[in-house]
Amino acid sequence: MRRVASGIALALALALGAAGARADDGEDAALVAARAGQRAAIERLAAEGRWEEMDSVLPTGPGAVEAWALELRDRWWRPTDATDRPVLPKGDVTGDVMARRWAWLAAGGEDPHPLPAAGEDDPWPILAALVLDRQRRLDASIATPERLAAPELNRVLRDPPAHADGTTLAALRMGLEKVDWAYDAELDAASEEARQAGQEASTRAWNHALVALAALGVLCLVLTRVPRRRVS
Amino acid sequence: MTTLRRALLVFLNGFAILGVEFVAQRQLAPVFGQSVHVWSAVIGVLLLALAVGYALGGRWGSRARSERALAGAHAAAALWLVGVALFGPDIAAALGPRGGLDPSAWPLGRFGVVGACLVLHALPCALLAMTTPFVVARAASSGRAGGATGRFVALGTLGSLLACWVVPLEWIPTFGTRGSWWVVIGLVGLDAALAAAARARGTPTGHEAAPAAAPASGQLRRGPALGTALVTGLAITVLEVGGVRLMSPWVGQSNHVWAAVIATCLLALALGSALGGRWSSRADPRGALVTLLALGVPAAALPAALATPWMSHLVPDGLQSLVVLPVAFAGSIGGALLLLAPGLVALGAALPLLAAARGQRDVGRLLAANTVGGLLGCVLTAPLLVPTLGSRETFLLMAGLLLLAAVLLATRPWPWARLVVAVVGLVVPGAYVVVRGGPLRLQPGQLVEVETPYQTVRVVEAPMDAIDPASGSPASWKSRLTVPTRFLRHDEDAETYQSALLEARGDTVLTGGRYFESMAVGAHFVPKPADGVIDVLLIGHAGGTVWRTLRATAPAGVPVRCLAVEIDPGVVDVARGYLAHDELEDERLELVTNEDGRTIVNALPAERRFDLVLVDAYARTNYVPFQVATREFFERVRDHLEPGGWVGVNVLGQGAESRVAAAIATTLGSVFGATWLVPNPYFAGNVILWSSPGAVGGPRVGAHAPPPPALGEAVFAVERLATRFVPSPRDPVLTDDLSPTDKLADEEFGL
Repeated sequence: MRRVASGIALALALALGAAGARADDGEDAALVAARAGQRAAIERLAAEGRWEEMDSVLPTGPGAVEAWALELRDRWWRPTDATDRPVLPKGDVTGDVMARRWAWLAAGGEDPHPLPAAGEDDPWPILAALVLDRQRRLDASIATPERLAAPELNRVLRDPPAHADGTTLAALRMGLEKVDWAYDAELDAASEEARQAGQEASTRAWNHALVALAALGVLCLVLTRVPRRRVS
Repeated sequence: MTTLRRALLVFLNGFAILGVEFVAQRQLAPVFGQSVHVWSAVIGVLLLALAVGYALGGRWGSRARSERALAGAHAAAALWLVGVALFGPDIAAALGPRGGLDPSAWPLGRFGVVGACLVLHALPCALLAMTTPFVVARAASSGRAGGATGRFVALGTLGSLLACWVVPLEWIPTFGTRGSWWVVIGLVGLDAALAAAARARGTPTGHEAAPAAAPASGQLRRGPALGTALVTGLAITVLEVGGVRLMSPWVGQSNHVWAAVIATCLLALALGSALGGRWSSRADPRGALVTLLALGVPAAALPAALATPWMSHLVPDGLQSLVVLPVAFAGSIGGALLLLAPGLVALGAALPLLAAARGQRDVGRLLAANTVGGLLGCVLTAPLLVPTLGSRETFLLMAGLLLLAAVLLATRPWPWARLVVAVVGLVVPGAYVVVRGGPLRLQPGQLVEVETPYQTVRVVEAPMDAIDPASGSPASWKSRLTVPTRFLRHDEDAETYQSALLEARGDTVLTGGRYFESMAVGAHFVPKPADGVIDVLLIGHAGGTVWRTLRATAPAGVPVRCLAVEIDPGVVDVARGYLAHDELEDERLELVTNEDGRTIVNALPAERRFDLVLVDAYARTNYVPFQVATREFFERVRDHLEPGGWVGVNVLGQGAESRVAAAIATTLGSVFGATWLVPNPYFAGNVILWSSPGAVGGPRVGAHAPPPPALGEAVFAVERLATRFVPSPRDPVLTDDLSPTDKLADEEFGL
């Protein structure tokens, strides 16, 4: 089902792209808004980790740009073992950011995820931040605590893209909070109050043990004195 | 030979004997596992060998001219142990289970472990055991067998006391199995040198040279003497092994607790031996024995009545799991000193008195009978008596046996006062236990407590926070549901648990975001299997929660099938009664109980393959069993993985900072190339380690179909929190020879 939806999405995106190329400036304004809304919805789902629901967001934009999220999901973020995938748009390692990303995806997505050049717009800034963050966690041979930092996501939060709404940013913040929570050794350790209670209980138990040891010692000392009668 | 040299000889020998026992268990575990039948077989063979050695040593010692004769025995033992250190693992492997999971052959390796133990460890144990009765027979030439027995048995026991602390807690985790063998061999060699330095004396001692001078009164026939030695040996072991179980609901069975309890018991026995030796020269041995046995009755029965109030006082409720272990350690010593030590002092004094009653020529036989009693105690207590009767009732049974022995040993005029003390000492605690009834430890909401061959298992019902992963809100993890939940807990578990069942179950809230879902998500990593079924090997089934979650969340249209291993059959029985386990048992589940996961992996047919292997095994509450965390184990697992298959290991500790997790992750990485660590932000401490042969990009979900909403949070953790593990130089690769998982866990928990 997801593969069919993905194929339809890609076909629609390509068709709309062709139509979009013929549209005049008046039509573009509405289309641009629709595209931005669609990308915002998709990036919100990605931020919340609900990638499986992206199929429900119909593509509206021109070209292959709008198909990117589904292809990224099915080939990299949650790669399926499908054999009947649609052909990817042609990438170009020297082209614009999306051309480079298609080339990156076609190559298996093991190199660093392409970012826009200076002055170039990024149609998927939040997806890019999520991919870069995950790439760094899964592949980078760097030790704690560097691996736990999330510079890409924090950059998005500091300078949010125009189409990102509050829900998306809240989801990103929540994700970072989960990272902090999961890797915070202090939270995994016992609280100060619990440590104090344990320390007191431990001291009490040791005191009781020492009393019991002393009692055993006294008992043995007494027993060394009895019986007094010697066997002849 | 001087007394000092004799003392040193016996002390080192006591150390070496217990050292051999500990290292032998460790050496055999990677092949045969650590199930209770394997433990019983190893201890049984070793104690039998000791009994033979004691009997021969006593006989030999009374005829030899000096301790120099022992040098040959120690040298032979040392040489044999060199072979054990070099070739032991290969010999054990050759005798280990392999080639199939035939239910008619279960328990696996039951003959192999006996054979391996006989071939490898029985001879050195028997040779070393000759020392104490040999030395007693030499030293007691004046006829004071009781005093000599008391002194030298006490010294040997003190040597064992030191060994029970040093060998499992320091040597094995530091030097590994083979390294520990070398140290033990060095000690045995030192003993051989000490014995060789002895000068020959003109005449042999013992019955040939000088008839043993038994006291005029108190003479005992050999049969009753040996019978009494056997009963006291049995009672001593029941108090030691049963004592650990009696206290385990509060203090658990961590290595430190075991070492503390056994060391306290050995200290009491050493004191008892010394006192018995002293009394033997002052009192009528037979009368003193009746007194000791009569005193032993209340000393064995009272712990049954006192355990609950005393241990609850030492280890109070309400302590967090992360801080409870140091308290449990202190509590175990306090518990052992009050509950076990008085009885062990009394019982430890019996042997010198028996020796005094029989003379030095029978010291070897008496030690042998005492050891056979110990063997029976080991074989019967944990596997049979405690699960069948309960630990309190086992103590009462022993008290009854001691009362019977006292009555049989008593002579006219009847020692009425002593017998009344014994009867009252049995009846009053017994009546209290019967009237009070109930569980050893009662926690709020507790539904049942069961003592199994391995541990005490409780099911507790409590309202607990749970996450609704399908709520659709990224904040769901902070707005938790409160759901009535049943938890399966072991021993000292207070807030931790081994299995869970949410009573208000639905399709989405399975275990409320707990680690079980973090393991079940692994079914979404594996590629679509050729036969259309995802085959899972689950080591550590417990109450079935991981399997329940796997069944409910498997990729749509792809059924799962599971070979599940649970070492403790009692846990599954409790789950059947209280965690709805029956509904999990169908043709998709092949459940093996009473077997160690390592043994099952060792015995898998070569062609058996799995798409997913999950290791969720814990021993004595907090330890990942070392034999399922080593390079050799994961290499075997790799051989049974389908292409693209994944291995997941659940580790409880200090979360992502856990050194146990780091060591296992390093080991996984050494076998599979890389390891990824997935933390659980909702339940502190748990991480899941994932590896797959040749994987480079980490685990990714969704190969077959979108993951179900119930796994939403587990999927989020994989996609957003997982990190590739980068080993540091301090993280060891764990091997069958050197795998200090227990020590690392102890350090993590503050011990």
